[in-house]
Amino acid sequence: MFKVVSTKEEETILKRAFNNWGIFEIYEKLEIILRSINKKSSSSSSSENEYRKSMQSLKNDNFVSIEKIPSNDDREKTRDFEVYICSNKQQSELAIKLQPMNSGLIIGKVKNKKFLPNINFAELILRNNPKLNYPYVILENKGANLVLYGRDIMGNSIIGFFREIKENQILIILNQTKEVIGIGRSKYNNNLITQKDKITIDNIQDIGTYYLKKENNYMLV
Amino acid sequence: MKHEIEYPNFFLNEYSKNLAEKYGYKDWMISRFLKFIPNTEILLEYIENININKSSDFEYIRTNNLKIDSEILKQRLVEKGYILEDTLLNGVFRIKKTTSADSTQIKKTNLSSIGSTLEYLKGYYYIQDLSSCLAVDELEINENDCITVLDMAASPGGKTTFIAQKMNNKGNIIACEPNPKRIPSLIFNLSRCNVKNTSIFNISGEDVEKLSIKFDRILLDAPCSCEGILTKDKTRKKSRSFKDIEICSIKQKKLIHSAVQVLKANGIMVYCTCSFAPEENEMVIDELVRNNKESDIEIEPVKYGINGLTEFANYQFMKELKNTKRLYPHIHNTNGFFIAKLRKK
Repeated sequence: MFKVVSTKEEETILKRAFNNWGIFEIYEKLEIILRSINKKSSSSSSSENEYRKSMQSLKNDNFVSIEKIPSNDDREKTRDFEVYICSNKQQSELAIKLQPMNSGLIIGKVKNKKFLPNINFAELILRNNPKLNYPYVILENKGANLVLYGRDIMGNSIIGFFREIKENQILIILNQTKEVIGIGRSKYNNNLITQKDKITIDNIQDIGTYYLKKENNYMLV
Repeated sequence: MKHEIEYPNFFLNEYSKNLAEKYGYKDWMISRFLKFIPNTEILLEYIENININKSSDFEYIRTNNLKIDSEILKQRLVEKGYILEDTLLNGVFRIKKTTSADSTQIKKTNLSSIGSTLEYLKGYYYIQDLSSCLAVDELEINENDCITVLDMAASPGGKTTFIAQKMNNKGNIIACEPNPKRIPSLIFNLSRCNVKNTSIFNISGEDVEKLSIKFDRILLDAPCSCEGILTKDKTRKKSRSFKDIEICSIKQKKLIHSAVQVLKANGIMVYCTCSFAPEENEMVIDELVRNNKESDIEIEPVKYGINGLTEFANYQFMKELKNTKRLYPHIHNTNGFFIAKLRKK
């Protein structure tokens, strides 16, 4: 179900996330809607189930956290939701009224009260905060190409990075021309992030994964 | 006037039988093609060459201006070794195939497929035939208008993303897709191209009235027999029967009728198919306009292509059908395509 950001808790989680990535000032300008993901699938229609089944493979590729599918009981307990940005008020109102399959651009999801950004959010950050004062790494060309094939990141392919990276932190992966190519999770802090011959960042989402895992016959029409 | 479609035991003669045998088609297809496709044999030879070489002579990309300027994209791809030719639409480029004379260039640059570049993955362009781009261009979308647009059969999102681009991500797009299995690819392409202004409904275009929304623009890229993509799928030489054309035609008439009901006054609808069959093209438009006199629908001129048919077999269409356009692979270097532009007064 699409809905507006209605509780103080939801608003706080999102504002904190925008603030942490240095784009707090754009939060109020965006038309944000949420979609709850704690719905029992047993109540879904057959076409919804088909869609969900198809989406599952896509989501596993496109979201930061790759986790087990929650059971219906888990879904009942949690208040997880996806976060979307719409173009305008009319669109968000329409989404809430008519409940389409999808509306706007998904920028991440909230799981266990934590915001997990996706590549669209990373693009939003880069466009609105070009100062790079947030966790990021820049890769040399060969390493960047390997990321597009789903590979994790070796320390020696990193040619630039945020000076305050912590262990187990979500960060944006950039290529040499400072374009977003993925999102990763650091295995080490900034002192050890460039270690040679060691994977220092796990690739958790990249722009190439979908194509490698899913042959899509409809793409060329 | 309602057109009844006859089974085509007409037109068969020695010439069409010979062509059908030579190029591996069903007889009825060729006998029909000879009636309305200019230089039919050249088309058949053209398709044959593409099927043998397993490579189309034409491939187009459309810049996604929501993410990059077309000149910057062109420069990036040229630097990688691709040869890009401008087309009649800004930001749409033809990927030129190198000839044997400059084959050394391929070896030197070791070009990857145009569908696997970083720029593609980044959503800087969409691989899309020029004919599809021309259909969207006919919608007359101005980026400053805050309008509501309906895409009646949206997956995988090529035309939807172009519409969003023309609207500069403003206004609203309603994208209908009846097949739930095709929705993930639509969502993915919208996301890759940074499209924000689109809502996707898992409904048939025929049911769009249930949404209670009126539209300023409608694109009906109707499900069709796909004769026009014989260059890309040679199985269609034999896999389709005339019954398929008939089934498609019935479906298309239902869809276009639903579309007219939700089109605002002075709104524009573009109807297109990738089929050559008059039953899926001129006949659908002719029947719509004749049966909806109260809606006062005008067939406006489409800019590019060969004029639509005003007669076929024993059918006489309205003379305004010449305003519709047909595109042919051997003449226009595009997929076979039909475009009609309608305005509701």
